Amino acid sequence: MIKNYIIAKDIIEADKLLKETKGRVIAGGTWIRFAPYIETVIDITRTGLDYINKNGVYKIGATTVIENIVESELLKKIAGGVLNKHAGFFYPFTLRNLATVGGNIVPYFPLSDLAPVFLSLDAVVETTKKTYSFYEFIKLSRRSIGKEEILTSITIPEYTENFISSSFRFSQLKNEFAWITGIVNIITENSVVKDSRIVISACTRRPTRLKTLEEKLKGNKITDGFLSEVRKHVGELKLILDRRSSIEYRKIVIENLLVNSFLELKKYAG
Amino acid sequence: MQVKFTLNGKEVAFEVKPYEILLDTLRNNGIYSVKRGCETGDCGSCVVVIDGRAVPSCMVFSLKVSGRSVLTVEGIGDLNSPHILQKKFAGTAAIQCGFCTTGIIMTMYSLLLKNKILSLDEVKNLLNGNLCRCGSYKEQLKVFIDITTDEKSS
Repeated sequence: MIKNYIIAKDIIEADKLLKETKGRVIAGGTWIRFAPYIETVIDITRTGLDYINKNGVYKIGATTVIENIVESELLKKIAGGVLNKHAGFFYPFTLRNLATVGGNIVPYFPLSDLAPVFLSLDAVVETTKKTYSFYEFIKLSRRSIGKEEILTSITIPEYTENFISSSFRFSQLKNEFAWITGIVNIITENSVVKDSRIVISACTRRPTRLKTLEEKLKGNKITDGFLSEVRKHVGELKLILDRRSSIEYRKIVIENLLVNSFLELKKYAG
Repeated sequence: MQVKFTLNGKEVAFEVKPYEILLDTLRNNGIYSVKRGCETGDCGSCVVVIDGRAVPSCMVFSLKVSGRSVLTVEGIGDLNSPHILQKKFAGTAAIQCGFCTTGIIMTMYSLLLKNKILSLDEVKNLLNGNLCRCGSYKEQLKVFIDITTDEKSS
């Protein structure tokens, strides 16, 4: 049960309090109520980390609420608003006004709507200790962030080239956690794919890149032959089982949704 | 511990426990329009508006609202001068048992504050977190659409 609730004035004070009290950092606080073993919480919502700006790169403060990402005109410029779209998958709207981007990516990767998007965009995570690539960040122990170090911001590089994205989220109900999330980002040059990021999440322990498929796409066009490759490579994913559906069912859904995404991108990429 | 904030336009100070949620603080202090439903932020019956944003009060620690402005349905109008939402809800069949009504009115109130033209689909999506077991969704949506249409035409 929570015995101490401390509102930190700035991030330096929050970091100091974290070390002194061995408490847990909260912002939106939507999950902490369900963690009865926590005695001290450090509220960082007033430490000035609620911002979205662009200074060469896009930067999002850790305590920015999800609804601000949905509505951000600035972030709509990134791959047709892929981040806004996935932030909008976080339901309901009233919780989007409370939950923060930091809280969405720190404690629970498989269920996060934003983590796979950040991975697909090569985002960089800054904490009070160091800077991580998003790939390094998702490999960290979930408990280290918010316990030993505090997430402060997420940075997304600016894509000036021909960058397009297609993504999907699959669940039975809108209000439910995703069963499957997928994002396909491609950069094209002279009608061939120069670089790509293919990320699957929600049905894997962490957001996962299909790197072999990305390699196959490099320097090529999206052809029918490639689409049959997609089906083969989905088998490489280590899917997690939960009671909502079987692994076999999810595989079929991923295959079909991924192929749909590629077909959509093919229209634009030629 | 003591928390000070603005409640329906008045400065208030309440004694609260560190783990206490705003829903309890409000109800313990006579604000009964805020209803206890799921306590997981999914049903919307406890929605209040904090600094212009609709949030489920069951998911907010009371100490978190220190220095903030909290608005409940009591703060937007009363029997003598009801807010247009209250008036329209009472004048149509948008209220059935009434349990969800205050939460829905507060969510709609926050949408009106945005001063943005919303499509019917957008409104449906935004009200997705407000459940009505009597199933008066059609009438509730009609109230909102009527108000925003009237505002547009005026």
